Amino acid sequence: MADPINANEPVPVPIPVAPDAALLPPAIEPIIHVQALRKIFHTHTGQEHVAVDRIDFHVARGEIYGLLGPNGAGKTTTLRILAGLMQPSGGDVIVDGISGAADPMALKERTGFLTANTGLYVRLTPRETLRYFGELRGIPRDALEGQINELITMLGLTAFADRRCEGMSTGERQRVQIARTLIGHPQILILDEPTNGLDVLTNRLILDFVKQASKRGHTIILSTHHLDEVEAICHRFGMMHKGVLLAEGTLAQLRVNTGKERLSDIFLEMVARVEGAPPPEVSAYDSGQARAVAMPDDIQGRFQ
Amino acid sequence: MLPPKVRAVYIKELRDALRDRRVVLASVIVPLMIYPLMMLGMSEVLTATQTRMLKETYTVAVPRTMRPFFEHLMEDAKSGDNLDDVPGFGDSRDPLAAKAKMLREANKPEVPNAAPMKVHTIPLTFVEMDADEAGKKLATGEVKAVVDIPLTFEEDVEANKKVEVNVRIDAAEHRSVDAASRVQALMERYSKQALKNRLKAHNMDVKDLQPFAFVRTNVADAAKVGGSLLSFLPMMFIIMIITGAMYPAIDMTAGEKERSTLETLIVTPVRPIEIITGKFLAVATIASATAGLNVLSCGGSFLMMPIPMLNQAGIPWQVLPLALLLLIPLTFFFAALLLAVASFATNHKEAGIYCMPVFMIPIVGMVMVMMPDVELDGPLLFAPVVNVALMIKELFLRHATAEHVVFVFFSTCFYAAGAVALAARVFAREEVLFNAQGSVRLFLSRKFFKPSDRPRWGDAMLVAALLFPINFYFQLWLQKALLDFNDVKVPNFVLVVALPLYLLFLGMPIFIAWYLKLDLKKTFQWNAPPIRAVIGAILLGVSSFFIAQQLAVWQSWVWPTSSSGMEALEKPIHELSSTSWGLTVLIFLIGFSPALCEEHFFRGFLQQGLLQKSAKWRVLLLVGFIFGAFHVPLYRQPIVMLLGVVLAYMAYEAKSLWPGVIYHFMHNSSTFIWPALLGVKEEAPNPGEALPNLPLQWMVPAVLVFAVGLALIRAPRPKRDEISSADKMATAAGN
Repeated sequence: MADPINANEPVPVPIPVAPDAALLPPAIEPIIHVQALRKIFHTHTGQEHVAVDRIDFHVARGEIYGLLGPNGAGKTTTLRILAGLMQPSGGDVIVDGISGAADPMALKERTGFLTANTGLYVRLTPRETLRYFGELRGIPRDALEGQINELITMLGLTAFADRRCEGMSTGERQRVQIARTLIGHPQILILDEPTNGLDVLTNRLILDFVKQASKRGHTIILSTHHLDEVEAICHRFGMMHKGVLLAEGTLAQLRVNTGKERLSDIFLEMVARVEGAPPPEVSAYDSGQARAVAMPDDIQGRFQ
Repeated sequence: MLPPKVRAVYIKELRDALRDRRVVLASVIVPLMIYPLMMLGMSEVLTATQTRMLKETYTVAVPRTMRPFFEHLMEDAKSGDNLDDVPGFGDSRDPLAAKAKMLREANKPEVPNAAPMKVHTIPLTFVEMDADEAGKKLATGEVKAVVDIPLTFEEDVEANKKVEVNVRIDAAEHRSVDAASRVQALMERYSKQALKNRLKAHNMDVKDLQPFAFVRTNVADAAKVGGSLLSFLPMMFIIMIITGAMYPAIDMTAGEKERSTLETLIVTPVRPIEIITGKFLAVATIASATAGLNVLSCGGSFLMMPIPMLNQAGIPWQVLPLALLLLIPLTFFFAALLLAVASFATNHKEAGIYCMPVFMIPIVGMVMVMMPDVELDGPLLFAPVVNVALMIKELFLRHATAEHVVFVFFSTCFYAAGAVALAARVFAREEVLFNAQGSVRLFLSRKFFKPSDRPRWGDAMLVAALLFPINFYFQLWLQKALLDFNDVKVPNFVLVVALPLYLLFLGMPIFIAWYLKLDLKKTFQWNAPPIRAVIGAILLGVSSFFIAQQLAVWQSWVWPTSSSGMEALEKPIHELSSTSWGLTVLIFLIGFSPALCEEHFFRGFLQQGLLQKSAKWRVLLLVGFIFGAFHVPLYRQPIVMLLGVVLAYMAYEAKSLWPGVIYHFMHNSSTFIWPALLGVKEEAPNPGEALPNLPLQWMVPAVLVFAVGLALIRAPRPKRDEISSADKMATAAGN
């Protein structure tokens, strides 16, 4: 049965993806290279399930990259591999020239990880939590106390910094989570569905944090299935569906290529195209069909 | 001193756990309170029982017209003669009276005037009724016992007729049993009086009935008697350890998953082994504290609580610290095992179900072995958990030997190390951490293993821990199946020696290495050795026999030799060594086979695995220690450990297994070749005797050759200027 959204429209050619770093503007230094990344899970009966299927993308230093897609698209698995939590079944993630497959600890040292669903140690105070994660990141004790105080002040945790996390409001908890993510000043922030299930105020808190972190020079990869709420904050988007990266580009580029305004409409358009026609093959990426994707002006300006 | 990240996890987990009321309850309050509560309970029950026995009046049915007779017996019991010296019906069947009697005997020196039970304190009411009616009322509980006694009882006794008195009871009713005991006490008194009268009629005295006196003297002191009464304690200690470890272990694994905090932890730059080590140490600390508090509470309760039975018997205080020492490795074992098992669960409830067998299986085992006749010996010596329970029981009973204590302690340490290795392996698997369905199968299935060069530290320790009891039990089974110790047959002897070596020490590590998709050549260092190492191995091989012998001499000065218990095996060895064919078999069996097989496991799989995580000398010493631990009897172990360290050093420096095989082969073979060549008639020393020194003309060359051999084994180090130029090149390349 045809998708009702596209039932009467001609099937456009899928937007090619720009996986090749050489095609990026030379002044922009990619910090993350995701190369033919593949992750296969095995069910208990031994069957294979391909969660991520040979995806390629790059993220420039200081960029906010939105990895979008519905639940089950493979976003979380991709981000877990990027954060060094999982080993890829194929391909690699190169961060700052270091192979994540060979040295997952190097990835972990460079990344902070935040989701909306991660819990806190409820019997620890925010200060103890930050101290714990700071110690795990190997921050020297003197520097650690300074960083903790800085984060407590910056994120407005002072009032409850020495109160146990149990009984805190969702907003207070998310602030502690943000502080935990930032301890040790990781270069890269990986935010997996950071607003999922949060109320409006906490949602705003998170999105503001993303903007602020970008201004401070962090590279951010953000995954969400609430597509429209990240339209305004991401510099580029990658759209995932069923483990495959369907398309990649700036909002403007995606609009031009789909004729749709909103990200959610753009995504549905993409899905319709690939469901109607086979998804782009990896060989297509290698055969030069891939298209250069320009970086937003503000990002380009920062690095030129 | 812990590595900083391990320390951070450890401190955090400990702090977190101690703020959790459930942990405090399970690990601190319950172990502290259980003994006082138990003592109070026991005290109350005993007091209530005694009170009931003394005050409660039971109704007993007697035939019509017999009531006055029994009431007369009651009166006589209150005011009559003391008949203790007259033989009665034999041992009382009243369990409480039997216990009181046992304690009076056990404590004669301390409590000479312990009061015997007084018959006159037992109240009974007699009612007359027909036998059938009495039977019905006994069934309904209206009467507690029915005495079937002839109406002419007194006359019959007077006439020296044989008379039978039957007391019907309801054995399911404790009061009915009590009532019967009371009737028995009365009748016994009557019997004694009748006997006394008969003797008097024949001008005889009670003493004339005993041609000689038979006295049973108790030599056990009060503490030992106390120990026998406390033999249930090991099981209590172990149950409390599991209880203390279980909740924190579940909370630190499944609890973290349930609260979604595990992801935030493993995303930090900390290796899984560091996380699990910190968690393991925290659980082990809590479980050890539980064990300590439990032992303390136990001692304190016995000291403070008025349990007459125990206080009169005495408490073996000196056993408690040693019991605690044996319990510590057991806390490590359970801490790691529970962490490993709970890691597969996704929430507390599921983890509780998974951990139930860890709780129940040892308890079932302990219940079986805590029977009075079960002793710590044979297979039970190495049986995990139950050997500790039995060991503590033996300590209480003063049957323990130092050798058993050492075996139990080290075998438990082995099992603990294996459990830690298992926990580390489980925790390193992402399908376990991320709750993949059927993660147990994914964890075990070869299909999902990634190829690697060498085993991991955890795999090496886990296999060593598993091999330890398997080797022991397999050898024991083979000996039982194939050896008749009165007449050992050579073929059977060959099988008993060779099968464990080839199956367990060669076959099993190679199979496991294949299963784990390891590089066999790198794991077992099958590469060709440098020639200097081969020469070094040969030099060590010809000389180390003398050094080992002299070390044994020195050891015998402080630690006299003891029987190995395997003297029966000397017969086939002597039989084989008498012919050239037999000597070849012996060299194959005792020289070649252990060299080939043991080197594959100890210096191959184990050493290569341990070197993945630990520093050189720590590993070499550990490998030597484990190698020694596998070699019983105990007095052989120190020297075998030293040889193990030399072999480990050889494998490390040569980067090849083969020099070690050569050295091991030559050393083992020389134990019967050198004595033959030097014309020394080898005689086993008598147990307990010190050995004579070896002649100096043998020792000096042996030491020199050994030293040259060691020097040859040592791999040549790069010269300082070579190092600095290599550094410069590396720096230049980096720039």
